[in-house]
Amino acid sequence: MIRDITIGQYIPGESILHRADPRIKIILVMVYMVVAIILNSYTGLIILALFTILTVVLSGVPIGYALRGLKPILFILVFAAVINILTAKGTVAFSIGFIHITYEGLNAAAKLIIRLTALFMEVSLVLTLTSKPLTMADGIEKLMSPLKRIGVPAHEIAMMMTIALRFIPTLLEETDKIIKAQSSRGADFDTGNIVQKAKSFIPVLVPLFVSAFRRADELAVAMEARCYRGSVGRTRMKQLHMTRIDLILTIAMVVFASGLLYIEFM
Amino acid sequence: MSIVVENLSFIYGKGTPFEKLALKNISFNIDSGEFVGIIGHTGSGKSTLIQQFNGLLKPTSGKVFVNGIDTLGKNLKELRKQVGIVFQYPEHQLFEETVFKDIAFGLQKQNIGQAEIEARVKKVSGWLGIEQDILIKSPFELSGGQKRRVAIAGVLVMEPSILILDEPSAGLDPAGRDEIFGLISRFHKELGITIIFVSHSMEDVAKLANRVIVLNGGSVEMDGTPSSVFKEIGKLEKIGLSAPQIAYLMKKLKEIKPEINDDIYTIEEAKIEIGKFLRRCCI
Repeated sequence: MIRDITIGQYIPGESILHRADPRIKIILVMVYMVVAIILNSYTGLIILALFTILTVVLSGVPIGYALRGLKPILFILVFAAVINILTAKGTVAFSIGFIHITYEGLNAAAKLIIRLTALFMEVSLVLTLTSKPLTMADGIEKLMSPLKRIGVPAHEIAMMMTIALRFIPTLLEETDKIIKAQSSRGADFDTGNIVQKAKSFIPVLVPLFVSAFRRADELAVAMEARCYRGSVGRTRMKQLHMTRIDLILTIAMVVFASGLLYIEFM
Repeated sequence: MSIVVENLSFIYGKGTPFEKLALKNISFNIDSGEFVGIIGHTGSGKSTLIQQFNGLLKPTSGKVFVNGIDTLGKNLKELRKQVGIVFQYPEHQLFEETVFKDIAFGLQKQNIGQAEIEARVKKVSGWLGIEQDILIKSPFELSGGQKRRVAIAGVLVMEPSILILDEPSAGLDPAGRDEIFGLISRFHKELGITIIFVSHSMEDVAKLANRVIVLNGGSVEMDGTPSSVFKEIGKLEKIGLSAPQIAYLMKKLKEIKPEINDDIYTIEEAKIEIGKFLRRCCI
């Protein structure tokens, strides 16, 4: 059950997206996000959606797998759409009792769904499904390194992210193990109201915290034993290199973004 | 017949890119009162197999029946009452404020009166040598061996008819290991329950089990009495296992003195056999 969570789930592959430099990927995803937020016409949004599907196909990630990653935001999606439908004012399309559904509300909800779905899919595709978490953290560190001059501990932030990401699968596995052990002793996580359900997780959370602290302690000792002492003078085994792929991706994104904005505003 | 496994196959992460076939078409029966050791190298499917016995994992195809209960059915509560699983490093699952509460955790989930709960916790802690003054301590204050005994008590208190242990001696020192195995074989003798344990130590398996199941790559490679399994040293070594150390010694001795019986897999038996031989030849 707990294995279904796809956060930070890298799918190995050899596509353009897999081979691109993480710094470029982060910047291009930011451009994509800005475009997705600016767009407000159906034409623009549908082209955006098609572009997103195209990138999924290009990446070689099974489309069903990419769609399954949307499950966690399903609730937000539905919630936001419903709020939009109920609150928008304008021409009434039809009424159910005292609730008036307007054309404007339906339009806003439809656009919102297309926008959010495409956005979430693209971001998770580029940043998690086709990028190793560690490479990503490297990219973030490099992108933030100009900020070191004003005192931002870029390396430490990246290291914390790396460690956090590194431990997600470990802790998931641990959680899975503890859930199994407690279920074998008769724990029940599925029945009862929300308070009882929350309470039933205490037998999982306490051992999980204990083990997280134990692991943190062990990791700190192991890092110190290998003379880790922060960013000063630290070199990398794997240097990041820009290649032609990055140039191609950047050009493609610039053409795509300006084209879309042209359609939107002309 | 306490456990019936029919053509069991199991696939992890079916339908994802990480799909992995963990068990391949396994069939066997375990009678009640048996003492079964499961061996196999890492990744051979041992842990996956034992989780099938109380419905934590369900067959992808095939069936598992435990005391007549189908693990695919709805009756998981009853199933888990009858099958107690002690996982690897069970002390990592302790969480309550006191040892007493932790042992009683499983019972609190059933409709059992407080007096009965207290009686059962006392009885189980007696078996496991957990003293009264430890019951009011926090489980996090205890030593490693004590923690493990408390964790095992938390499973035994449910009075399962089948007790499954996944490497019960992992991470313990020799004294702790002897203690745990001593307790387990006592449960088997005195309570008459079925015991299944997973181990990497051929010595422990040879000493305790009266039946050995060897897993390799998700299939049952061998299944029989310890002596019939450990006799085939070549076959075991081919799949990354071995016979107990003492078996190698007895084989060597037999090469020198053919009259020695080398069908021996525990130190106790070897002691007797070598003693007999020495008396015959050298006194």
